[in-house]
Amino acid sequence: MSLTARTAALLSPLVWRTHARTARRLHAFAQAEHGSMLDMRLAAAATPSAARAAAYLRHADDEARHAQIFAKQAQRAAAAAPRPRALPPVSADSERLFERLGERDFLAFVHHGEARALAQFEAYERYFAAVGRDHESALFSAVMVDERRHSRYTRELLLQLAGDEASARAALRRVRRWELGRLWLRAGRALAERLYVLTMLLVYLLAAPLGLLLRLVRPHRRGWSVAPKGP
Amino acid sequence: MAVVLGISGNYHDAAAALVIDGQVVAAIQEERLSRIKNDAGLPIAAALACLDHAGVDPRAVDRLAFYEDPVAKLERVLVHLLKNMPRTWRAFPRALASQLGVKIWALDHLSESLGVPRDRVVALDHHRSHAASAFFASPYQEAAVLVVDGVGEAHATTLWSGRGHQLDLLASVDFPHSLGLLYAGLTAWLGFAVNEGEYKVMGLAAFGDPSRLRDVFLQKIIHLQGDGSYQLDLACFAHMSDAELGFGPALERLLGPRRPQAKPWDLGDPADRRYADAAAALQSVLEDTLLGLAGRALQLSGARHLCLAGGVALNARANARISQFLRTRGGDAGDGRLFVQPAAGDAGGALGAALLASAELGDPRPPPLQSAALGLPVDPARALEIARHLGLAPRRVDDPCQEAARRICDGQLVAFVQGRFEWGPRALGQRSLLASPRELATRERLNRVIKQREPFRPFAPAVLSQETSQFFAAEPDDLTPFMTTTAPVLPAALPRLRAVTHVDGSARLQTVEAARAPELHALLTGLEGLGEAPIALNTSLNGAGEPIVASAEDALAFWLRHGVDAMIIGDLLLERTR
Repeated sequence: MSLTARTAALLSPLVWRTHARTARRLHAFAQAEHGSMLDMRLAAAATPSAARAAAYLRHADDEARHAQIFAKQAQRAAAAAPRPRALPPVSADSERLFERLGERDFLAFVHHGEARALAQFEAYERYFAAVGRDHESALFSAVMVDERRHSRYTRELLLQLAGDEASARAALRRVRRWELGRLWLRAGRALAERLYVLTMLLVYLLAAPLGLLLRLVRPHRRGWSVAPKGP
Repeated sequence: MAVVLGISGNYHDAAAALVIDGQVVAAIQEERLSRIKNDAGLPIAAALACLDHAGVDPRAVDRLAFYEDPVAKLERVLVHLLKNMPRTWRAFPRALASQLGVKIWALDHLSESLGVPRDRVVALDHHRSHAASAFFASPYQEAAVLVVDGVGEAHATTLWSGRGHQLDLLASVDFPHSLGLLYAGLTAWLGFAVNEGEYKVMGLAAFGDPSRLRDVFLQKIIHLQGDGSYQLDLACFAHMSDAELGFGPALERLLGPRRPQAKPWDLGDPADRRYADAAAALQSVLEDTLLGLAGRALQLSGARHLCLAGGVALNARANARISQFLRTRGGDAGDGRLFVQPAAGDAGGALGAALLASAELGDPRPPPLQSAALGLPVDPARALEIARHLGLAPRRVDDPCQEAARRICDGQLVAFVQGRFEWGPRALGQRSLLASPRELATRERLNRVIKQREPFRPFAPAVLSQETSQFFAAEPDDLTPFMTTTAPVLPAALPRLRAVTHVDGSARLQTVEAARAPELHALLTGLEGLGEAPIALNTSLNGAGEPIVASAEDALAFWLRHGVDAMIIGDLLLERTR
């Protein structure tokens, strides 16, 4: 069992404990699937091969469907929570991975991501089956059918583009390193953001007298602020 | 003679426009390429696509004009955050991070990303860019220009005088008093997403009774002055302290609690009827305010015609009233005309900035904007190849327009993808979903199955220009080719136009001429030849929450996800087996 699967299995009771947590988690999956859909569509537009474009479009279509399924289930969970609240619409940014990594490494990245998602989803499916939450278990089973196909075809295409097994493995190692680097940068950014917020709050407090002064010297203008020349 | 690239971005609806020797060569919204609705970044892909389409190297760009001044904007943001202490403590770190971390560097970022030397990159004024986008693209040599949006650097509403190459600022109403932010605040209160749900408010308004809440609006929310200007009761709004929420507790005390987001609408429910009444009152007050502003702009400029720009100019119902007002003004001032550029929102700022910079470099004014098809062309050969790999059964047809007409007559939903995609939020026949306007069931099917949107939102008709008066109480004008106005449907035509007639008996019509939209014109002519009215229901080709289709790949992705009956890409036909 991979580290991803072990972690997912270990954390499942915590992650899926309440309706509210379930809703948050499923909504996060919906966002991730939506982001992946965007990347696959951009890849379809960017690849010179019509055959690969078709494969990416099929993949994007699956991701769009997964996003929809997760979002719908998240809404249900949110509505069942003791304090029901509407979840925001599913939206995500593309990481423009094709552009940044090139097609071979993009495929390696997608393959790696699909394999990881599969391991995670298998752990969740087992957990839900064990605790008798059949609806959620069936949801992950359905999604996993596609994930397996994605993992398979991306591996085939990666081998085609890389030329041989060794080059494909090298590409996979490269994207793992790239991903670690991205994780490091993200952690740094998250920390910096928190520090920044604290610093800015301090600046805000120090600027209080300036705020009072501004109210006096620059009051809100009402009506026309450029004097009309006409009658 | 110059190559000028105009850019808008870093707020919402990023776009690029390329003007060469005074001619508009290409104009593209970033969302069409990034596939992120209302993409709020910088439009690097759109800018490169414009240049690539024209075969211009970025180093050959003489001027890159950004549509607003980032430093002036920072000043306004900072001043308002500090003035509204302590309510702004949450917004302050976030706003400054965005301003200092990203927005202030927009010109440098553009220069580096596009490879245009920094000394050729300039920042213009937000409202001047809007005004230029409307006036310089209009058919008028002399006109008043009214710009109404949320806020630029400091102005929220501006009046201009346009003459030839000249644009002179006459008057302004400044932030925080803003019609755009009034509309945004009420959009949020109604449970819709700001910068996206404004069309829904306009559609909803027709279901309400404006008289029920109109006085509340005029006495407590917005005060109209005799000189055409207006003031908001700032206690009702929160845009000075929280850009995301938009309205304040005072508004909820006046109108009731905000409507929960994503709750399904039931206009038979009294609570939802009250929300519809509020939308109707808002629409009515907005129209009155715009009429006052338009009157003032005409008075100050001495002009007969008016150009309208800014996000509020996308309000087709208000445009219809202003247009009527211009036509029926007494004396010499009568017969005035109105023009609204199809991308009147912030995307249009890119076009305005390019046209302003072009004029500054001595280039001539462009000819009046004839067509919104300023994007990238679709590639049917690529679509054919990919479709075959997808296991679809595409086939070429001799006359795609006639084929589409025949299928529409048969009651099919036809996705129609032809030529260059449109500039602005409206599909005008290049990336359209077309159907027969006859049956209400078509509207239901589109709303529920394809668009997944609220049942009260109307669909628009595209009609052969010369046949307009047979079906609508209107004639083609400067707005109708771009679907930026509404007109009453004639009672006799109603049975043939049920799917495109709104509850108030109006329709947001598009008039189609061969010179502006040749394929759609041929299709409508085909419908007429088949004994039908030369009218099609025309809605944008996109799924829920997605930007309109741009490329062949986007079109095929749409085909895979949505149950339309047929798709025609160039001369390529895809059909669903029944």
